[in-house]
Order: sequence, then C-alpha cells, then structure tokens
Amino acid sequence: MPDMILREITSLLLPFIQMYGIYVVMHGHLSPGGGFAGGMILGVSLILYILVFGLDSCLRKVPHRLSSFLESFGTLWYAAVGLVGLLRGTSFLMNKGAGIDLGTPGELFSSGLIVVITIGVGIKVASTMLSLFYTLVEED
Amino acid sequence: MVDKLIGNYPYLIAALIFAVGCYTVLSHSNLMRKVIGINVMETAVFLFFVASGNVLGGQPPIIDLNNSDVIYVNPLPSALILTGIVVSVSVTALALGLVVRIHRQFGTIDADEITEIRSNDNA
Amino acid sequence: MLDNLPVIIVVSLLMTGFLAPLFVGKFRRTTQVVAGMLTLAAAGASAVLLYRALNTGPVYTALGGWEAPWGIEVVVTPLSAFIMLVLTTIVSLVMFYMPHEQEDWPNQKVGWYITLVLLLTAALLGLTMSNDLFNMYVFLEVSALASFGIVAAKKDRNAGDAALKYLVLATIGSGFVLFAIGITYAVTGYLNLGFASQALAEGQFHPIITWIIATFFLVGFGIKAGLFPLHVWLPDAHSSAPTSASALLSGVVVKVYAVVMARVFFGLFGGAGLEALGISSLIRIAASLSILAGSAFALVQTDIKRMLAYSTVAQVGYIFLGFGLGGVYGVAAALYHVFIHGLMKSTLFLSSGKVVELRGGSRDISGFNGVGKLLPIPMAAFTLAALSMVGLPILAGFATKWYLFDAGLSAGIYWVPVVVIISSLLNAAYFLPIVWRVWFGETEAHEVSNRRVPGLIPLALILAVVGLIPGPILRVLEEAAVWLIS
Repeated sequence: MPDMILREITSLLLPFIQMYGIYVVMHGHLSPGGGFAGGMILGVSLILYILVFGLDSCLRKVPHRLSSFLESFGTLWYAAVGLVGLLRGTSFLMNKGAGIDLGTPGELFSSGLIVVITIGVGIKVASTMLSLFYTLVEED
Repeated sequence: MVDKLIGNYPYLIAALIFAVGCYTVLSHSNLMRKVIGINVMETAVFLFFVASGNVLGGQPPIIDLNNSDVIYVNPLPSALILTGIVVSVSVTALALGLVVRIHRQFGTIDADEITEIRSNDNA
Repeated sequence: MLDNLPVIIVVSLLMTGFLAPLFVGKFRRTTQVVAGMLTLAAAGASAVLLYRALNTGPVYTALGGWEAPWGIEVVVTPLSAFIMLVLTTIVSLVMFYMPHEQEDWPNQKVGWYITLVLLLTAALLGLTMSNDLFNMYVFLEVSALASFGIVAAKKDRNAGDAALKYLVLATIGSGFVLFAIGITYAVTGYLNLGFASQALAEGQFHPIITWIIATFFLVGFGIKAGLFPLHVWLPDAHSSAPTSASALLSGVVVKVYAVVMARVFFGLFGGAGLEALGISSLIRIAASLSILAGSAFALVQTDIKRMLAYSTVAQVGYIFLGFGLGGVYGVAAALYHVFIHGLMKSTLFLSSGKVVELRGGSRDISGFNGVGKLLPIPMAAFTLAALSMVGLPILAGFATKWYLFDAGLSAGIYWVPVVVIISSLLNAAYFLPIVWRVWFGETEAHEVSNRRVPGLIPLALILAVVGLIPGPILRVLEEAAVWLIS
C-alpha cells in the first residue's frame, strides 16, 4: 500500500520538479540559480525516480553509457563555447567583445553566450549527479 | 566591544560552526561522522562568505530596470559560493564512495579498528 | 595569440582529458601516446612563455575581456613560467612510463586514469598562473580531487584507507584556505592579489587580522604540501599509490602547493611584512622540524616507498626553509630545489617501481640486494638520484644546500646551516646503505625478461646535466625570485 502511494505521488510530481529545474537553468542570467543549481535539481529528480521505482527501471531509461557520454559532452560544450571567442580573434570566453548580439536585458534570449553555457553546465551537473549515485548504489 | 560582537553575529556563528566541524572530524572514530564533519566545516565557510556580502538595507541583486538608484546586496559572494557548494558536493560524493569501498574491504568503518587491522597486516 | 597561450594550454589539456575515456576503447595505445605528446607540447609552450616573461616582462591576460579587479586575471611571471615548465616536463616524462605500468589494466581504468592525470596537470598549471584568489581555490580543489582519484587507483585495501585519510585532511586544509580567502575578501573587498595586497597595506587594519589571514593560509597550504606536523597523510598516500602516481604526487603536486603558498604570502604581504608578522620565523621552525623529523622517520623504514615518502617530507622542508629565509638567495634555493627534487624523486620512484615489479610486488628494502647486476641502467639512475639527494658536490643537490647555507649565514640565523649539515648526514645514512646493497649485495642470478623503464633515462640525463651546469638555471631563478619578492 505505501509503495503504491509513493509511486502515484512521485509520478505526478516528477514532471513539475523537472520543469522547475529546466526553468532555473534557462533563467540563469535573470534570477538566482543558473547552471549548477538547476542541474542539481534535475539530477535530484532522477535520484528520486531511482529511490521510488528501483535502480533497474532507471538504468533502462538512462544507461551507463549515456550518462558517461553526457558528462564528457557537457565539459566539451563549455570549452567549445569558450573557444568561440578565441576563433573570432579576441580572448577566451569573450561575450560582447566577440561580437555576439546581447539583446535587451530582462528578456529570456539576451546576454549572448551566457544562456548557451548555462545549458551545458546544467546537463553536465545533472548527468554527474546521476553517475555518482549509480556508483554509490551498485554492488560492484 | 560586546555590541560589536553581537552586531557581527553571522561571522561569530560561522566561526563557531567551523570549530564544531573541525572537532567532529578530529574526535570521532567513525568514518561517516568524519565525512559529516568536513561537510559542516565547509558549510561554515560558505556562511561566512555569504554573510560578508550583505549590505544593510539592500535589495536582492536582481536588476530593476525601472528605477536606477536602488542599493543591491553584493552578488559576487553568492556566485562564488555556488561554485564552492558544487566542489563540496563532489568531495562528499568521492568520500562516500571511498567509505563504501573501505567497508567492503575491511568489514568495518571504525578508524581505530582499521588501524589495528592494517598493523596486523604489516606485522 | 601569444596573450592567449596560457589559457589555450589549460583548456586543451582539459578537453583532451575529457575526450580520453571516449576513445580509449578502440584506440588505447593512441590515446596514451596523444596524452604524452600533448603534455610535451605544453612543456614547449611553457618554455616559450618563460622566454617571453624573462625578456619582455610578465604576460597579463584578462579572462573574458573583463579587466581586473572585476574580472579574473591570469599572469605569467618568470616564476610561474618556470614552475609550469618543470611541471609539464616531469608529467610528460612520467606519462611515457605509464603505458608500461598499465599493461594489465582494463581499458576503462586506463581511460579514467589518463583523464585524472591530465586534469591534475591542467589544474596545477591554472593554479600557478592565476592571479585571483578564488580562481586559485577552484584549481586547488580540482587538483585535489584528481589526486584523490589517482591515489585510490590500486585495488588493495591500504589504497582506499590512504585515499580517505588524504581526502579528509586535504579538505580540512581547503576549508582553512577558503576561510582565509573569505576574510581577505571581507576585509579588503578585492579578490585580485595585486589589489588586495595594496588594500591590506593601506587600510589601517588591526594586526590580528593580517595575522589570522596568514596563519590560516599557512595551515591550509601546509596540510596540502606536507609541512610538519601536518604531513601525516603523506606516507600512506604516496606509498599506496601506483608508481607513476607516486612519482607525480611526490615530485610535482606537493611542490606546486608550496610554491603557490609562497606566491600568496609574498603577493599579499611582501617579504618585509612576513618578517614583521613573525610568520617567516614560524615557517623556518616548521621547515627545520620537517627536515629533521622526515629524515629521522625515513631512517627506520623497511618499505622503500614509505621511505621515499618520508624523504619527500624532509625535502619539502628544504623548500619551505628557503621561502622562510626570504631574500633572493633563499627563494632561488627553494625554486631550484623544486626543480631538482621533482627530477630526483620521480627517478627514484620509477626505478624503485621496477625493482618492486621484479620482486613480485614486495616493497621491502631487502629486495634491493644485488639488483645492480640484474637491472644496470635503472639502478645507475637510482644511484645518481640518491647521491644527488645527499648533496655531493658535482651532483644536483649540492647547489641547494650551498645556497641555503649561504642565505642562513648572511641572515644571521645560525641554526639554519647546522640543520642543513645534519640533514645531509641523515640523508646519507638512509640512502647510502641502499646504494651499497644494490651494487655489492648478493642475490641469485636470474634472467630479467623486461628491463626497460621508459621515461627514466631522460629524467636521469636532465638531472646529471643540471648537476654539472647549474649556472644558467640559477640565473633564471634569481630573476624569478626578484619578481616574487618585489
């Protein structure tokens, strides 16, 4: 009985938790939070899924190879965005000086490359938290 | 002097928590308590950092585009501490992984017993 | 382009580090070679930066185009460039040894180990070149995490326990460093070293504040660099790690932390300020205790790797003693010792690793009996490095002891030369018996299948050359020392 209550409530809540995590990531330049906090919320939502529904069902959805790949992918994304500045002739991690259009402050798609970097950081933190949890919970 | 001490209470509390964390790491022999102790220590340092960025009477540091002479709280320490928290989480995760591995290899997570097992190994 | 070279070095090492596990499955040998080549290229780039820094002055780069104090600044002084060159050279030579050690490791483990070593190198490079306190803290933590990983690489039980002990103590150290950074920021409002030191000098702060900042930095960095009495994690961690990891940890990592501590101290307070605070004499006392205690503990060890680890504690004491003496000669002696001890310790660890492998994994010193006939070239390198550690005249270690002796006499601190002499005698007492055993001991003769120790010969050659001709390097270091102190 308690098991069924947990499952029903979690399956109702999880989409909202993940939506909130994505909101925090996307609004990193407008409100507190940003990549780290949003990525952690996403990662914790996946850990909640493991705790309620079991390790195997999460392994079916996000296998080891995918989470390892996402980890490396997130770091390479960050480095690639940094290199955009270098390729345009100015220094590393340049935003305005590299000629990226900044848009009007307060809008969602403003401030140039900051949104792109934040999304990369969010993906990386979420996948890292999931990998860490896999390592801690598995038997060997 | 006492009113200066009371006026700066965040720093005092941060120093106190730091001392408590340090004592926890050094005095308990259970490895899990040591890991919790280092977490408490790091939390105290974060508290110190964030408290130092506070400006009395300041607003949260989200720019209000309509009026331009509002005093904002310093946002820099909060951004630094976000990075610090992530580092602390990684270190704790690594420490917990090592504790699990030690438990599997030694059968105990008490530091004194582990020292005894290791000295029996080497004897 | 040259302005961005420091950042390019660090970023390329990081990116390759994260690409390695993806490619190691099918292209294992290629990945190892590429990683080694990349660190060699980084060494070349550091040499270029050193040349530029010596001739035209330090290279300042502002990340993201934001100028200091609002942005993060990266500066390459002669000191930073020299440390970067030493670091990348030793890492690249050890990386050429790694495939030999990793022959029977599974693919995935090789991949992650290469990631950790490249991450460690990138973080140490970033640590030496950064001019911003919080940036230094982030790189400090990244390098610490990478080194926890490489200590825990072996499967046996002592490795896990050693890694956890190292982790707990190093995190306490990082906590102290972060607290000191926090107090500096709260008091001065700047995180940039240059601006913060100006604010500390001009603002009329109660002296206890600067004293607290200095002490917290000393304890924090002292735990990570292995200063007595905060060195207790070092013997376990450095002896339980795989051979290449021990060579990197003893030879490179603890030194860089010591140099960064000196950079923060001299940068924030200046040489005269340190003397006034009494921190210099505290460092001198702790360093001398390190030297004597480390050598004394090394004498009684029967496990070769633990003995080499205690010897590292003693040698790091020399480096701290040089920084504590201040002045051009003291600092130049410390930096020279950073260079040659890196070479000596890596040579010792790599050649001892070959002997341990020969004896089936036993690390006991009696395994060294008569090995000179079985493994002539590795043991010749071992002898060269051991005699350099003792400090015989035409070999590398002599210049450090001479400079420290000189600096101590001219500063009027007469117990420093006494400590240097006693420690040389102690070094001889634990190294010479092993050298004797190697060449004149008895062992049953049997054929050794694989005598190669890749990467050992370049290390030993550089050591011999530096020992014979220390002049040019000492000139460079004296100039670097002048930059540090002013």
